[in-house]
Amino acid sequence: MNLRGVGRPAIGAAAAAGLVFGVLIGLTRMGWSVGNPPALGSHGPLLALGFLGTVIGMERAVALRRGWVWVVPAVAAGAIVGLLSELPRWAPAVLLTIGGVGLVGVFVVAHRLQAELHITIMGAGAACWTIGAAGLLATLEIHRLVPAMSGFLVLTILGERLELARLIGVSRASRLWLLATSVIVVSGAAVSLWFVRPGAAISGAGFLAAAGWLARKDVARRTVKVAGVTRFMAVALLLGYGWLLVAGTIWVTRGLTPGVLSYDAAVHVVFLGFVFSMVFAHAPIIVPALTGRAVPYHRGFWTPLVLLHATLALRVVGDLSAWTDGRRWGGMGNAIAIALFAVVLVFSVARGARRWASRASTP
Amino acid sequence: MVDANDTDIALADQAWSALDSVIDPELGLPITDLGLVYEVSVTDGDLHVEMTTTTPICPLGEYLTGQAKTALAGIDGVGNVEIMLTQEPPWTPDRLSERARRQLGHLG
Repeated sequence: MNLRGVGRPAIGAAAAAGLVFGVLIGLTRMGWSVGNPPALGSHGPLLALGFLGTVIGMERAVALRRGWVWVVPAVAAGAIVGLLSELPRWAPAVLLTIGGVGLVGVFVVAHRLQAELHITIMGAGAACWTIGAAGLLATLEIHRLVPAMSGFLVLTILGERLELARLIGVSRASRLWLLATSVIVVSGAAVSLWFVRPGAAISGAGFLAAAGWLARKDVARRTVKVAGVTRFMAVALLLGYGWLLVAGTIWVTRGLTPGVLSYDAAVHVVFLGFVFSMVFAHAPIIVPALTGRAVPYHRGFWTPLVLLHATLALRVVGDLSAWTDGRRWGGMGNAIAIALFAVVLVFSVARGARRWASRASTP
Repeated sequence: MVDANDTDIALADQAWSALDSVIDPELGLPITDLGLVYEVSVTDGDLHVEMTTTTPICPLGEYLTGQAKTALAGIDGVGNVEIMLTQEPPWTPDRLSERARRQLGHLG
């Protein structure tokens, strides 16, 4: 199966729809009037498993260059369409469960090629995806699935960072720490399906362990000294680690209780502060990897990154101090930051294409 | 007189230099210093390069081979450029150059 010709753009378009509608649903739920987006109850699954599941699945398919791996992003993209079409919940849930199991399979194959801990950790992240999707299939309340959806992304990123940390040397103690961290995060995801208060605290402890290691050992602490895109990426990563520490602290001390304002903070410090900061960090290299189009770095990348973190801080202060306007305007700022980043990326791709065209036309 | 073999050896040297200009964007280091280039061979002006990624699940393979192809195609007198991406043998940190180790502050 070669999906490159038609499939890649179609899967990419579904991912983009998942992102756009996921953000619009989030704004609507905060009380903003932004049209009338469908699937108001699907904000979390749409973004965490739909959009990010599709993008991460595409990354793995491009990397492993085996046709069957495209099943993972294809079913995640199908789930986005299913969620937005408001099909019965079981239909996208089945697709997402297939995607999660498929991604576990991808890491089993990858581990045969290179038997390394970072692949095991990413496989544990895929197991979290599967747990979350299975919970969706069992029609559990979304807040019970948040530790699984978060665990998928936290462990995926942790595995990627460990992979790079091999370049500066990883001690045996670090490996044991990260293995234990993964077990804790997966356990928290599973326990939360039934007992969300202790489950969230377990996951929160895992996030603290992950963030502590990343903040101290990640290669970004060294690459931040290299100017240009490398420094941009490193700063986005390091800011994300800070938010993951905040997330772990909130999850351990306050848990995940929907209906209270700290719930909004608990969820979004992970998904926006940590995960979307990682998305911003990696976009300048992932977009070329997925599309074959160059994304030349320019200083404009910094504006949405600063806006994302500043407005998330406003939102969290609003959440924790019951300052509703701070929370709402922070949320709007988060959405503007994501939209602005997309605009900057498109501008950058166009600039790269123009530069290429002018080079090609030079005699 | 320069025979075909001398030309090919010179071309291989130029190819390694060209590959020095392909930078891993995340680490800010050349792919040559990262030990991602396994082999450069030249036959009658045609270049064959074997390279890898630090892990089989790294999505940058296509991007880096594309960058490498562009860099190699710019060498005067080069014929066909063929780049193979392989995971055999798997990359290990032992392949880092001294310069990369110094820059990264390798602890191992």
